[in-house]
Order: sequence, then C-alpha cells, then structure tokens
Amino acid sequence: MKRSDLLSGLFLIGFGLFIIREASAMKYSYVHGPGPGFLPFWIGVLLVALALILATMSAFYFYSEKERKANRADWWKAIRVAGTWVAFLFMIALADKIGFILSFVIFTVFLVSAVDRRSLSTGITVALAIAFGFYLIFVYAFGLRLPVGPWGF
Amino acid sequence: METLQNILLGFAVALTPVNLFWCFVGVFLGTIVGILPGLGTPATIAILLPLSFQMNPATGLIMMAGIYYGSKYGGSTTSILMNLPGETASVVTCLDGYQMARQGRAGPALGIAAISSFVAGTVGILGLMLVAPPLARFALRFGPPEYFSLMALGLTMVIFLAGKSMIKGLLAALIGLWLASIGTDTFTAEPRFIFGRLELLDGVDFIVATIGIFAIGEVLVNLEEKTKIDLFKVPKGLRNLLPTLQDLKDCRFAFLNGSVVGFLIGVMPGAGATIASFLSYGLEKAVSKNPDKFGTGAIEGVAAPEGANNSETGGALVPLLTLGIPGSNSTAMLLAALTLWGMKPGPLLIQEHPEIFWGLVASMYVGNIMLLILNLPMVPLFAKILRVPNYFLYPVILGISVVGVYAVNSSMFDIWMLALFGILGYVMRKLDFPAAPLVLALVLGIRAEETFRQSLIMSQGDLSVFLTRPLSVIMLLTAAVLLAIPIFRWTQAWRKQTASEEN
Amino acid sequence: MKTTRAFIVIAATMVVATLAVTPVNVLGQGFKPTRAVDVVNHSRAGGGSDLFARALVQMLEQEKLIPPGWQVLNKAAGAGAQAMAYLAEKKGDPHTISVFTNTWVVTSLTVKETTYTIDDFTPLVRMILEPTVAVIKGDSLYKNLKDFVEDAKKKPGQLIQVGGTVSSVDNLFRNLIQKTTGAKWQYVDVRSGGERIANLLGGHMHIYFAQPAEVSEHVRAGNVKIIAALTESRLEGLPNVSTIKEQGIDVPIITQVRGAVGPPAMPKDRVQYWEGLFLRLTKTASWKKYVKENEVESAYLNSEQLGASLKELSNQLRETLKEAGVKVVR
Repeated sequence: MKRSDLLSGLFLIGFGLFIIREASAMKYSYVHGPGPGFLPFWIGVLLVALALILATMSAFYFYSEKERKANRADWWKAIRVAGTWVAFLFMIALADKIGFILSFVIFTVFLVSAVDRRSLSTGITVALAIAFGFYLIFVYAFGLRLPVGPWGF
Repeated sequence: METLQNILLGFAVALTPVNLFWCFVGVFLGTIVGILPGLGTPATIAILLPLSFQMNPATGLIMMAGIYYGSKYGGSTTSILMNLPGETASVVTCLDGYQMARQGRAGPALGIAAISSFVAGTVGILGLMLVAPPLARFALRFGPPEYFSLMALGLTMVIFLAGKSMIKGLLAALIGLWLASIGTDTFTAEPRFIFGRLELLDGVDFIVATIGIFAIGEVLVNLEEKTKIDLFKVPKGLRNLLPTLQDLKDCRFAFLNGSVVGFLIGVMPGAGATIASFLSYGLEKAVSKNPDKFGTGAIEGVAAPEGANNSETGGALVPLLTLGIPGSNSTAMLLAALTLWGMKPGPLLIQEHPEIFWGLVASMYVGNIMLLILNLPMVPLFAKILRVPNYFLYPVILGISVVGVYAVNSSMFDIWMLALFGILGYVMRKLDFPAAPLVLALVLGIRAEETFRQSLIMSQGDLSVFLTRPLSVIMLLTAAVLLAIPIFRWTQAWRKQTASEEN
Repeated sequence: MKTTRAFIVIAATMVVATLAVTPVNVLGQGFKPTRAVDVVNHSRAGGGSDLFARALVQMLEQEKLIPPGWQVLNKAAGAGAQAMAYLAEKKGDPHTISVFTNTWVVTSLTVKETTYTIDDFTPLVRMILEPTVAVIKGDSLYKNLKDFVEDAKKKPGQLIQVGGTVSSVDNLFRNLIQKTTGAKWQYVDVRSGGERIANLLGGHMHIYFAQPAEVSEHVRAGNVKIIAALTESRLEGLPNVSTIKEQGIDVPIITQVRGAVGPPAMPKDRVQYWEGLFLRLTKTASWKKYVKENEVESAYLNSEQLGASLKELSNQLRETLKEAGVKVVR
C-alpha cells in the first residue's frame, strides 16, 4: 500500500465533491450551450473518478526496501520547510508595514542563520548584500515601486 | 525585387547608429528581464514607455521589440539552471533543461537554448518578412471553433508531460482546469469560486501560479536539508560548456519543429507562446525514436520549446503589423506604445510607413545576432551561478519572485497567492504529481472553455460545428494521432514482452 | 528624419507660444501637489484606461502643466473593483487620483463583492465621451443598421454580434435595439478588442459595436464599414454616417464616459486644483490632437456637474442592465 497516494487520493475525492457541490449552485446551461456551472461540474466528476482510481491502485503497490527507508518520516525536514514557509508569510505581512527591503533582510537572516544554520554574521552579510543589490536594480535602476515603510524604503 | 529593395530600406533604418544603440539597449534589457522571473515584457515596456516618448516611432519600436524578443532568450537561463521558469512558456524547458544541469550539462543546455533561439528566431523573422500579409489573411480563418480545437490539441500535450503516472498527470491537469475556472464568467457575469475575494474576480494569474509552483516550490524542496555549497558539478573547459556536434545533430528536427510550430502558433492572435512551446515539446517527444529519454535530460527537449518560444515572436508580430491586432499582452503593449507615439497601427501601416515595418524587421536580424553574441559567451558565466552557495541563491530567488510578481500589478494579494502556490508546488513534488500539466491546463483552460461556449452560441448549440470546419477537423485529427502514438507504443512494447516470454 | 526634425521644431514653437500666452501663475493659490502624483486605472498595461491615463500624463508633461515623474498605477482586478478599493484606501492622500469609465458604474451596480461604489469617491472632471458605431465587414451587403435588423428578423438567431462582456455597452445596445425592433440575434463575448475585429474580418461574426478609433484604419483600408452611429447626432469625423435614430430605430443612447475621480471626501481646494489643471489641458494643442486622433468627443465637466451626470448614468445603466438580464445588486 502506498500511503501518500491513498491520502492524496482521498483528499482529491473530497476536493472533487466540494467542486461538484459549488458547481451545482451555478447555472449548468446558458443560451445554446454550457453555462458557468458546466465546466466545474465535470472537473469535479472527473476529479472524483480519477482520485478513486488513484486511491484504489495505491492498495496494490508494494514498497521496495530502498523506498521504505527513504519514506521514513523525517520531522526535521518538515519543520525546516514549514518554518521557511511561515517565515515567508511573515515577510509578506511585514512588507506592508515596514517596507519590503527591511522585511526581506529580516527574512533572509532567518533563512540563512536559523533554517540553514550558518553563522549569524553570514546571515547578516548575505541579507544586506542581496537587499542592497535589489534596491540598486529594482528601485534605483528600474524605478519599481515596492511596498515602503514609514522610513521611505 | 521589391522585397530586396524594402529590406535594403530596412537595413538603412536599422543600421543608423542611433537605432543600433537602442536595439542593443532593448535586447540587453530584454535578456535581463527574461532572466528575472515574473517581471515580464508588458510590465517592462510600461516602465520604459515614458523614456521612449522622445524617440521617433521607428527607434522606439526597435527598442521595445528588442525587449520583447530579448526576454524570450533570457527566459531559458533560470529554467535550466534552477528549475525556475520566468514565464509560463519556459515551463517545458525546465523538464529536460534542469535535468541536463543536474548531470553537469548546464553549459550545453544553455548553449543549445541560445542556438535554437537564434535559428528559430531568424526563421520567425524570415516568415514575418516574406509571408506576413497572406498569412495574416489565413489566420483570420480561425474562428472560435478552430481556436477550441487548437486548445484541445494543446491540452492533449498533458499525456507527454505526465511523467511516471498518467493518472497523476491527469489529476494535476484537472486541478489546473479548476484554477482556470476561478473568476467572473464573462458570459453571464457570474463569479465562480472567488471565496469572497475581489482580487479573484479576474481569475488566477498564471504567472503567479507558475512562479509559485516552480520557484518557491523548488526552493522549499531544496531547503529540506542543509544546503550544500556545490550542488552540481560544473565541468571546466570551454569544450564542456558548449553543445557538441552530436548535440547539434540530435537537434536538427527540433530546430525545424520549434521554428515552424512557434511561428504558426504565433500568427494566431490569442494563442500565445505557452501553447507553442508545449506543442513543440509534445511533437518532439511524439516523433522521437526514444521518447523515454524525455524528462531525463534530452537535449531536443530544450531545443524545441526554446525555438518555438522565440519564433513565436516573429509570428505574433504578423497580425500586429499587418492588421493592428495584438494577440498577447506583450504585443498589446507594443500596440499601445505605437499609439502613444502617434502612429496608427493597422492594415495600412506597411504601405504607408514602410520604414517602420522594414526597419523593425531588419533590426530584428541585427538584434538576434546581438543576442547570440551576448548570450553564448555568457554561458560559462551563467553556468558558474551553480557554484554560488545556495544559502545565497535561495533568498535571491525568493526575493526576485516576490518583486517580479509585485511589479506586474503592485498587489499584495498576488504575493499571498505566490506563497500559496509555493506550498502547493512543494506538496505536489513530495507526492510525485507533475506540475507542468497543471500550468498547461491553467493557461489553456480559460480559452478552451470560452471558445467552446462561443462556438456553440455561434452554431446555436450544434456540436457538429467542430467537425464541419476543415481547419478544426485537421487539428482534432492531429490531437487524435498524438494521443494514439503513446498507446500504440505501449501495445508494441507489451506485445514484444509477451512474445519474448513465450519464447 | 527631416520631417521629424521639422515636427520637433513646430511642436517646440507651439509649446513656447502656449507658455508665453498663458500666465504661469494661474495655479498659484490653494493646493498644489508637492510630489509626483499616482494616476490609478483599472486596466492592465496596454488596456483602454491604462492608455488614457498614460496619455493624460504625457500631455500634461508635454504642455509643462506638471513636472515630469507622475506615475500610472495599474489596479486591474475585478473590472474596477480593485482600483476602487485602492482609491478608497488613499482617503486623505493628496497625491493619488484615478481615471474611471462606465465600467466603474457597472461594477458598482452588479458586483456584490465590491465594498466601494462610484458614489463613494470625489468626482473631479469628465474629460471625454466615446461614441459607439455599428461596424460590419467591408463586403457585407447591408447598407445600414436597419438592413441588418431587417435581416435578423428574417432569420432569427442566426446573425451574430461580437462584443465585450455581457454587461458592456455593446450588449446593452443590442438588448435595447432588440426590444424596440423585435429582431433577435446572437451575442458572442470575445475577450480582447483585437480578436473581436479578427472575428469580424474573418466572417465568423457579423456585426460589432465599436469605438470609431478601433476600426478607423480598417475602414480606411476597406476591410470594414461603419453603418450607423449609435449617438444623438452625427459624428464630426463621420459626417456621412447616419445616426441610429435617423434610421428609425429609437433607443436611448448610452455613452462611454472617461474622466477622473479622487479619493473619498476630498477637500474643496484640492478639487479646484484638479478642475483647473484638466480644464487647462483641454485648451492645449496636445489635447486637441489627441481628441481628433482618437475620434472622441472632448466633453469637460467640472466636479459638481460630473457628480450629477454620474447619478444620471447610474440610473440609466441600472434600468438597461436589468432589461438585459444582468443581475443588479445595488
């Protein structure tokens, strides 16, 4: 049994059902042909059908020894990825408040020093170097307008 | 004879020092813009528009067009080196280009992309020069039914992109189609799946989706483990950095395929470079002697779509300059620029302002040569990017993605979508779902639905409209044949296997 | 090259001449922007409103009415919805204005997700009215719109009009004409203006209600012909084209408006600055050239007049949209 396929199959069945439910509230037909609900409805149906096949097929799959090893859940990996992504979200939220350049510096220091476990000084150097480059190219040369903070950058 | 005179006139315009200079500025900026994901041609032209008000229209157009075709050259670089397409048309380039880079063949991949771009780009200009008016008339025969069939043909490419599991490829495509259905339904003004967000009324921006799924997703996957300083080996020596003679030989058909497919698709207003690059990749894989090589670093898989992407430019200029009809956001921006300079692009432009049309054509030859000269020596330099420590590279990629996406519509919402697509890209990778079918379906889905419904309104609900119009039938048949090829191959292989088992 | 130089010389002379005649100090009192202004619009780069905003900035700069550096900002999502939300956010900011069209009014009426409507903003000026004309392929046999309508009556549902979204002026006109004449024809919504013309030229569809500038080059080349002006009186640039009413089809006329609005509750002195600036623009040579080239009508209204006119437009559109079967939510 291939667990990842079973799970994604089940999830997609649910998602397909959601699409079908939403689509059935839309008009199925319009003057001489399909209406706004036509395409989503059939997407939902096909999604459910194919996801069912995927989930069923996953039961007949046998892992090789190598795959079994590779599959062992590595929580560190998940934490690193989740951490990066959440930090990325924080950067976006902060960009609106303190400007993109500064929030990007903070994010990069976190990424390099915390996620990638380089030294803090490496993190700061990298962050400042990239931020300066960005400012030079995008703001100064191209004249792009990035979100700015109260300090004007 | 007349053409010869015209082209001489064109070169007289293009080779003036002023125009040469701005042509160079255009292609140089274009290359940079192409490398930066997200930013894109229309936004760049908009940014530089005020600068061009002082120029005369021919110079302005030469520069703006330089940005347009120059950005196509640059688009392949990040796709190959970092699995990071800067635009949807370069998504297929990632499939084999990135694999080549992982095998230490980044140089040849970049080289073949530049060469193929040059060859196909030049073919595109030749086409623009020689057959523009008759071809534009031909393109007008494409009504909604023909476009629907073209989109259907494009969507069959999903089977060539599915990778290991066909079911997962199809599921990814369905999700792409669903994403395409988000937004206001233009026929009834009814909103679909907008979750109460105004920003979704216009649908999902496929640039945002592409960059999120590919760039952010790729970085997230790589950050699972502490980054290594040297991810891929980069062989030393110029010989290992450029394509070999054998590579060039392997790509003979790809050059032709890319040139022709790209140009023809380009001529159709509203078809676009994405379908051109996907279609030429599918075609290349369909006719290849060893289709299994595709997706594992086949050099033809880089040459064909890159060629198509570049010769599409020449094609797209055909309806723009002969009829004043733009087929894409980029050409719409060129049209806008022409109008702001006080020109009236339309069916009489070539007759009444030959210096503009022929000057542009001649400048594109010059520009393409400049691009080749500019890009080939940069190959070793770019290949060295892979030696830049990843902890430096990844923040750059994330930052550029954010800036590029923000620049288009200065919308924070787009950045949130970018993050969302980033995690989707990561999850898809972890669960072995191919991303290319999703992007393809997202790009083509909107138009496929639109043209399907338009056709049925035209025919008052009669489905036979797709089968009674010759061009539509031809494309549907091509789609059927392309679908049949892999099935035929499977049965062949299966028969061989059973035969050998019986022996 | 020579003509270009000559043109530059002439243009420069004209600029100098205008500057010499107009006292520089007209804008002296009251509010004046202290930094570059953002001109918001609801199109993507290259779209109709984007081009209008850019043309405004370009002309203002050329006529030295403003210092260089003003920026055009695209807020394209939701047919004006995003632009309206952005402008509302800029309440109190003296350095943001936006151009608007009928689309803002239509979106205010039909999109229930919009939090702001056109009524929330400070009307500044109306600049132009865009006429609509009925266009058919050059080799088509119809001589006027009446012929088309008669033919549509003979074969109901077989003729096809190509146009914009279901709530666009094109479709509203179709509904109005169908109602008064009893004729019926199909309407196919095609996304971009260029493709609509391509569909007309290719003979896939039979009629298009366009703006004159969209098709003027094709008219000149004989690819298409204009068979009626959907306006109250004949157009200056098309004296031989009869109006729809002359052809005996009596429908209310909907006009496309372009102008500028500011953030909500803008103080009086700022409104006066914008009124003055744009009024001065309408008197310049660049403006006259723009109006002529784009075949639109220069139709300046000040803030108060625009406010009243928008109310009227809103009521008219509400009725016609309802009749066209579009759900009106406000």
